[in-house]
Amino acid sequence: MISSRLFPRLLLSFLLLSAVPLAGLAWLYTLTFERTLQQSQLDNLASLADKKVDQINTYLDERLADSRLLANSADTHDALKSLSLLMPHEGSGSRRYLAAENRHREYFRTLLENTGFYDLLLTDATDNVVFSVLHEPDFGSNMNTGTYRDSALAEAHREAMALLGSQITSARPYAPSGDKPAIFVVTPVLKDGKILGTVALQLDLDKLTQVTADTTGLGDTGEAALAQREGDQVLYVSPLRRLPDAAFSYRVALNKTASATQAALNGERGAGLAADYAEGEVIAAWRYLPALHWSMVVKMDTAEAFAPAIQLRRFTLFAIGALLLVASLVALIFGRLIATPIRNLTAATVHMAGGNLSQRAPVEGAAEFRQLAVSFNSMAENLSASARELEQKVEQRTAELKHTNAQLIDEARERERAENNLKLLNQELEQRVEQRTELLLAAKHEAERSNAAKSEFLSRMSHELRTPMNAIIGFSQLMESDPTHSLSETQQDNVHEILHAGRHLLELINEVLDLARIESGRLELSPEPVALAGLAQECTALMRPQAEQKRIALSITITGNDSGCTVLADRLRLRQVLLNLLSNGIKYNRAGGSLTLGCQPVDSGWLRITVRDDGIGIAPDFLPRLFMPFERFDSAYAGTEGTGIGLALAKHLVEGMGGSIGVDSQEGQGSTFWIELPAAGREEPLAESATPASPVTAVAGERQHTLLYVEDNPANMRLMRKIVGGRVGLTLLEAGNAERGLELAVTRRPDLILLDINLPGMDGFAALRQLRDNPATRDIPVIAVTANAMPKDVARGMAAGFADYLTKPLDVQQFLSAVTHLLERSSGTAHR
Amino acid sequence: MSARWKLVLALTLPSIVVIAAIVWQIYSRAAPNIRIGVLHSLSGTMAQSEKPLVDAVRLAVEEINAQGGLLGRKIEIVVADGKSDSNVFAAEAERLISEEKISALFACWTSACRKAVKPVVERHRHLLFYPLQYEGLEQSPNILYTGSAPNQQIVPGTRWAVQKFGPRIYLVGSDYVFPRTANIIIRDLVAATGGEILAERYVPLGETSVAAIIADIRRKKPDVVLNTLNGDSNAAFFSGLLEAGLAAQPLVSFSVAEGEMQAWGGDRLDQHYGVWSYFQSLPQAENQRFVAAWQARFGVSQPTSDPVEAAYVGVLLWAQTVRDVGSSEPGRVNPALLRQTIRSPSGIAAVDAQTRHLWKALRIGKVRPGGQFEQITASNELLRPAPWPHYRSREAWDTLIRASAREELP
Repeated sequence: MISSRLFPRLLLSFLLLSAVPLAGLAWLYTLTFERTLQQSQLDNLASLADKKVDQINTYLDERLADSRLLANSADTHDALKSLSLLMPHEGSGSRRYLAAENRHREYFRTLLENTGFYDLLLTDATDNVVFSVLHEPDFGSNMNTGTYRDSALAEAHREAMALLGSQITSARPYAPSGDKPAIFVVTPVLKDGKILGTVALQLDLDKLTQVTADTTGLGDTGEAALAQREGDQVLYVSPLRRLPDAAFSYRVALNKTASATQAALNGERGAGLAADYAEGEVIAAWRYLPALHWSMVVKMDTAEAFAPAIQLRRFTLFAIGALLLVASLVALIFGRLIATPIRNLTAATVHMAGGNLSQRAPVEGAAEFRQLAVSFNSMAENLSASARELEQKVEQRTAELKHTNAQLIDEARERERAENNLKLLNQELEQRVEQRTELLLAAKHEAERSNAAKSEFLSRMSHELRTPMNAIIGFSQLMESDPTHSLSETQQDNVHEILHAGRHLLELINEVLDLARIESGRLELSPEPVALAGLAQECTALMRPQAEQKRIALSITITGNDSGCTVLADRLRLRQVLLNLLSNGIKYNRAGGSLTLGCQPVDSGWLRITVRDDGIGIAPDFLPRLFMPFERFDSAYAGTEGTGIGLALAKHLVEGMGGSIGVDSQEGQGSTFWIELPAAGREEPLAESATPASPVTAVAGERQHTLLYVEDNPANMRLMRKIVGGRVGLTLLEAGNAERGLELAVTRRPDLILLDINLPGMDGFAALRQLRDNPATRDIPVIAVTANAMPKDVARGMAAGFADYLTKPLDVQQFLSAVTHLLERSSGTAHR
Repeated sequence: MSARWKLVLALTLPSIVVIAAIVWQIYSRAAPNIRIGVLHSLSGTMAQSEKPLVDAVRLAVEEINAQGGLLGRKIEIVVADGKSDSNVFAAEAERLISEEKISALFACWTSACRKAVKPVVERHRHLLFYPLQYEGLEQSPNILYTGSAPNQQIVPGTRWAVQKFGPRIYLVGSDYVFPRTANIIIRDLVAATGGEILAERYVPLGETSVAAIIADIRRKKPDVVLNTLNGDSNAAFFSGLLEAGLAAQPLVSFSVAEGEMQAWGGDRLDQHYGVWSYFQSLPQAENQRFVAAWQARFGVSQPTSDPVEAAYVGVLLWAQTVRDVGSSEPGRVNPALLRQTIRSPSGIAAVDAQTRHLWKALRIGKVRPGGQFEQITASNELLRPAPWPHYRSREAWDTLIRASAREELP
């Protein structure tokens, strides 16, 4: 903490005090050095350039002086006079010319060798070159009329004669010298105001350009470049460092050449940074030489010229870097020196604050820190002494407390042990319960599974039984009501018995089905307020014939007014239960007994319905099994008709309606069955029940109607044939399977189709879909005629689009009324 | 504001003030101007000729000052009037150098004046810029001659005239050193190369009765008249020629520039030529800029001329030398001056170290109405100055000049 605050400040201070000012100074110094260096380099180049220009000028001035000396010398006068007389008349090869030349030759040759010309020529007033040291082709030619009349020498000769002044030609290739570039210094020779001719010195160009070869003081990249202007071009006349053969051969367009050369050729003199002919950056000084119309550029690559500055800059950067590093290190060390004692002291105080009074601060670092540590330690000593006193007192108290505490702990342990024992017992119990529960659950699952199997079996049985029952009841009905073949009385009785037995059987099947439905939880109840008085009347009316057979007095005792005895129940099922109880009350009664249906309110919104008989009663050991299915009170009532499931069904129904059922019985004194149901408000006025089906003998209207019956069971087919056969205006088409039925539906276009669901191959539902998908058969109403009487089957059938759903065994009256109804509707639709 | 900040301020503010004061003192110390003397006749017979030379120096100085001056200093002109009197010139030169502490002197038109000032500048080891073409035969270590020497004007001019019009020459000049020396040289030339000097006539400076000479010219019918008359005499001479029906007489004037040509009516003659190294009509950009600057400063009616250009170039050469050596002290400027070359309105101005003259071009122009010259021919290159023709020793020259000066006027 401390060092992280102290260090940056120390570092900043050190940098401010040492590195930053030094860096600033170094920068200033470097900048000044760079400027000075540039200036001194420029000065150096400028003085070198001046020196070289002076060298060239001096050389030329000396040659000019030489030529003037020669022009005024008697030897020259003599030579010109004598040779100019001999040459035109006797030729340069003549003995007299050679003799005369020989006389002067030694003089001029010595002069030439001593002063370093290339050649020396004397041209007379008639423009003949009468003398030459080297005897090049120009010797003996005429400068006004000969081959070389346009040469630089010829022009200079004429000018010198005309102006009486010395001429220095510019450097041009000179043909007689093998087109080597040449410079001539030409001076007129006058004697007593008369022109004798000219003396021409052909200069040694190498001596001139040698000036540039000396690169002393120009480093590795420096050089001096000489150039002259030729029209729009620049001709370099000295070798260049990068182009050793440039002299008198390297030409560049004026506007493309180096800027320094351009400036110099324009007469400017200066120094500075410039672009090079080799396209590099150079530091240069440029000069104009009027004598030869030359430019001189003395230059050096900036990289070399400024190398010390670059080096200095690098070194400075390095030094500053090093300085920064050192400053940082020193700051770090100082930071440590100051921070470490403080940190240790702080750590010690923190320890003490944390309770460690034996902690002592290390005595280290600077004197001030040592003193601080010593003071701190003596303070710590005092503190720990007083702390020890305190501790002793605390220890005494603690010992006392410990004693008391131990006692308490013992007690607590005992208590704990008891608790543990209890816990163990509890756990054992829980385990046992769990085991039982598992067993029970397994048993329950088993029971549920067998129960489901049973329901499934019952449901299938019901279907299988209904199919033959259809034939039995259907044919019996036909026989009973056949107007054409009236039966004898005996036969009538027999048919009646068959019908009675058949209906009983059907009732049994329905009950079994109901029970199965209830047990599989598929029975749907719709509770509503039911006025008991009305229902009691209805039920007693139904049971009265049975009761009268056994001379049993049937009475209703409903206390309170009518409206008071209204229960919340499914009316139909309550009726079923009451009928069952009444039926039992009759069955298990003694002859001439009584049976009373009553109703009393029980406390808090419940009503109790009772059916009391004064029969033989029920044995107490049988009472618990009384409401179990298939248990019968057989011992005393062998031969009594019953399924043994009535009470079980009743119990299920009542409980399904939210009520309860029970019995109070005493053997020999009769039994009272009771039902308790929630009381309800007033019963809704009962909707008028469907008009009882009137016997239909003929279908309305005189039109001929065609029925198609699809059925695989021949007995059922025969029954249908019988039912339909007796009706006027109805024709029956028969199909043994769905495929045949569809074919007939298309070809014969029946008015109504009766369709069995359980068909071999394609079933009734698939057949219906095909009928509906075909535009030809789409509008034909279809009635399902099936033994699948379970409510879910009915619902599924109606949802699939059947116009009606009739269950087997068929009730002939019901069937006919449904057919008539549909035919009327469809013909009405057709007529519309 | 906390006490700590107050302390910081109390410490830093005085330091800042002290540093600022020192910096201000260093930079505010105004560098003294560099003073140069301009000595020309602002009154008297030469006033009209010499005034433009003062303007030429003024223009050059103003241009240099506009670009920031010299060595961080401004140039200041001290103008003195020579009153067309060589004694006044000598006295004023003395005063400018001793009292006005000038760094350089730009002075003189006539040779008499120059010869009067020469001992003064030599005594003070000072520096004089002399802007006129002249007779040569002189080389002072303290004078830079920015006008043409005879071999740059008279000699090639004469040669051109002979080639163009013929070898029969009539010489007319004012009676003083320049025309007499020029004519000696012309005689040498004619003697050496063939030709005939029909007459050599002189009139005193300021003399306007030239009828006798006109009559003589009429009688002798020279191929060409070479005129070295100076001053007002020219006006009379030109009028005389015109009146005598000699308008078509080829005439080459060596001392009449654009301004005088217009003033004295030289443009009325049909075959009138001038020989100079500079004409106002030169087409190059450098001259166009110079003429434009001149006219912007002194008016469109003011023509430039060879002496004006030479005076202007003298200042530029001096300024460049001062920059080179980093000092305006004459003793340091003088040697470095000999290496200078610059771009000038006439082309290139280059100092010849050997002679202290400038390399000069030769230009021959025909006088057009209005006094302007139309350049007819020019030398290919700059001509090397040769104040002394080499074919005679300096002593011989001096003797000749003295002899000539003693000759009676015809």
